[in-house]
Amino acid sequence: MKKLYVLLFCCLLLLSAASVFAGGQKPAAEKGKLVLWDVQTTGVLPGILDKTADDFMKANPGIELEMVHIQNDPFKTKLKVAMGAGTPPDIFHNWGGGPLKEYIDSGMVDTIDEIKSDLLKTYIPASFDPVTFDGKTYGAAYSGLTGVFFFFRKDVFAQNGLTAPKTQKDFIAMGDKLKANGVIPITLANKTKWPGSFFYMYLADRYGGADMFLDALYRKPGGSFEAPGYIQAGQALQDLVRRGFFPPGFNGMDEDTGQSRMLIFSKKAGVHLMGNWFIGQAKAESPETFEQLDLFPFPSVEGGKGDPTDLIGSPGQNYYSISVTCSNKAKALEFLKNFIMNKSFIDSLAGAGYVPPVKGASTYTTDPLMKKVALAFEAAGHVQVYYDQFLPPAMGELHKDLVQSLFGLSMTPQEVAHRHEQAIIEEMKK
Amino acid sequence: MKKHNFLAALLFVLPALLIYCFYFVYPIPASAYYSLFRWNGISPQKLYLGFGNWVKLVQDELFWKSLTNNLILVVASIVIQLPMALALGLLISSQLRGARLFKLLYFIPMMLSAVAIGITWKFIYEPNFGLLNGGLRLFGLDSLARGWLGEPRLALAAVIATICWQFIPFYMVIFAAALAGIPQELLEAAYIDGASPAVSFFRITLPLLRNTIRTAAILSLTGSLKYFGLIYVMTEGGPDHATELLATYMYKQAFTGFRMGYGSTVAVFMFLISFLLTVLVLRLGKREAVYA
Repeated sequence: MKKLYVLLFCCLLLLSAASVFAGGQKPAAEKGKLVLWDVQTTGVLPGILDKTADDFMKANPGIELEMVHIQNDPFKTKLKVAMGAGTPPDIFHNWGGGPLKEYIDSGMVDTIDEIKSDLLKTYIPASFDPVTFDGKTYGAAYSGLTGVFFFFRKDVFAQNGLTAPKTQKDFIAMGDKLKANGVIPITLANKTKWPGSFFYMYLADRYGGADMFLDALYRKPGGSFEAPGYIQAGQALQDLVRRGFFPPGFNGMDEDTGQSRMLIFSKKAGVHLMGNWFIGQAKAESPETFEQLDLFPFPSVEGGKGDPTDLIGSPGQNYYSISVTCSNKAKALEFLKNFIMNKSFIDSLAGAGYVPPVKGASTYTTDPLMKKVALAFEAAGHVQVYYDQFLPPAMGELHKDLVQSLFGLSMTPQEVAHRHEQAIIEEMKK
Repeated sequence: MKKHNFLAALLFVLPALLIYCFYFVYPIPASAYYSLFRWNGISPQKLYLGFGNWVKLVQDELFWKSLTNNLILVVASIVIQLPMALALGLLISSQLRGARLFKLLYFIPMMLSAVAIGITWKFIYEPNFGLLNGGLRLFGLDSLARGWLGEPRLALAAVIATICWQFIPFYMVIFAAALAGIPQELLEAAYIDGASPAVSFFRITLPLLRNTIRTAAILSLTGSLKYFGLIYVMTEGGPDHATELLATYMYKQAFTGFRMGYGSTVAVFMFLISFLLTVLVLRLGKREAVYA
């Protein structure tokens, strides 16, 4: 318990330091300071964002925009504490979905409806889906759209005489062949839990169709997390585990420290189910892999109701929202409207391998892999945002725990489905 | 005059006292109060549940699992850490050559942050490239190579091993300090009387360390009950809650899951059980001391 308070105390200290800057110098006329928090600590995004912030400050002399880049997991706690204390940063990063909804319901987030019509001139409308609640919009995307695909090395596939599988049957044949040749068929680092959730979400989509999840979540008649599609998804997932397709001890390996992709880089594993940010990681960490990298969409399943073009991903991935305590909302809106997704910002994003969620995205990118991603988005029947970010937070956590247990073979597909169902019923009671 | 002194003393203590009260004392009743509500930690509205969270706690399988894991950690910490620390303490306070070098080497884990230790050990335990499995394979023990942190049956033991590695140096220093306080004359007298090293250890050194051992046991007990750092870095309580402790469970509920009320309930429970067990150990220790 003491630990928690020490943690809290540290957060508070940091916060109070931040709020001295943020709130202490209330704008006198056009002077002032905006504080922005996000989670971009690696890769090229921090540089691109800092540059656009500099442009903003040049255009608005007297206004200082402080960009604070915080690591992903500490960020979540820090923001939560700041929100609870009523001193959030003026602009804050989020992924839309359930957690943002909590902040909105607690009256901590302002809408950006004032500038939405301007934003729609650039953005694709779908990019606002994860941040739109009851017809009001609460944020704007600031990076690329992301989809989850199977990535593989062309040289590894060639050595094993493989081609990209289109169906579950081909996929299993691929796995058997890789395994027979001493290659781990699928790499996975599931201590972090969300990488394993990708498999469950995709299999559920392929078996039960895109509406199965939405019907279950919004309690439509007949909608249930115990629908046959979910049971089949759980069974298919455990089948992959029982076949020994994953690395030993995968439930203890850490995605955040790259323990999954190391296996791809060293040619010890065949395929990697990951968001397309993996392309950037490969480029930075193993240029040799990047040269050989290719992707294929999640295979279809026999007798499944799902559209094989459906994607798991996010039409915006990273969003900036404005808090109600923002010291200068007009300027914050101006930053979102004129500096995020302006021409040079989009060019930098596209140049860095992102597919910005803007109209005609596939024409911006020249990289063949990114083009594939952009085209997959344009062709997708449905884009499902990650469950753990879409569901109410407590249930999102539970979902990840349950899928980890499913992978560990310590729960049956029926139990996992039943516990999801119980959790949603519990959430509805609120 | 006396009163005056008290006021002066109070004045000097006041800043520290205020901080202590605000950050360490006040949160206890505050948590107890929050534990009566359904509250997400942000919203101004709280829903009063009475003892609803406590009923839920008793029925919560995961809570019991965390408690069980936590008790395993407590027992393992005391049973493994203290004897090893005592042995190392004896070693580094002996006249052996190189004892000073070992003192320095053994103290290193104490100087590292928990996060650094956690990340390092995560790579040691890594199943494919890790040092541990690599070492096993080097000696032809491939069959012993495991996914140490990924298998529910092994994960807790693997993490406990790291926790011991982290904390043994701390107790080693405590024991070494206590050993330095034992008058040399006693041991010399025993030696002259013909006592073997083993006899003088069990008859003289160990009884004189009684108070230190008790203190170390209480530190280890309360430390293990609220343990958080390495677990959070190495496994986040997984896989399948195999390494879930009360503190990680509380953190997940209160912060990640937006359930501040329920998280507070777990926190209050942790406080109560730490308090009770500490009182119990103190009592037991005292009674023994009387009969000794």
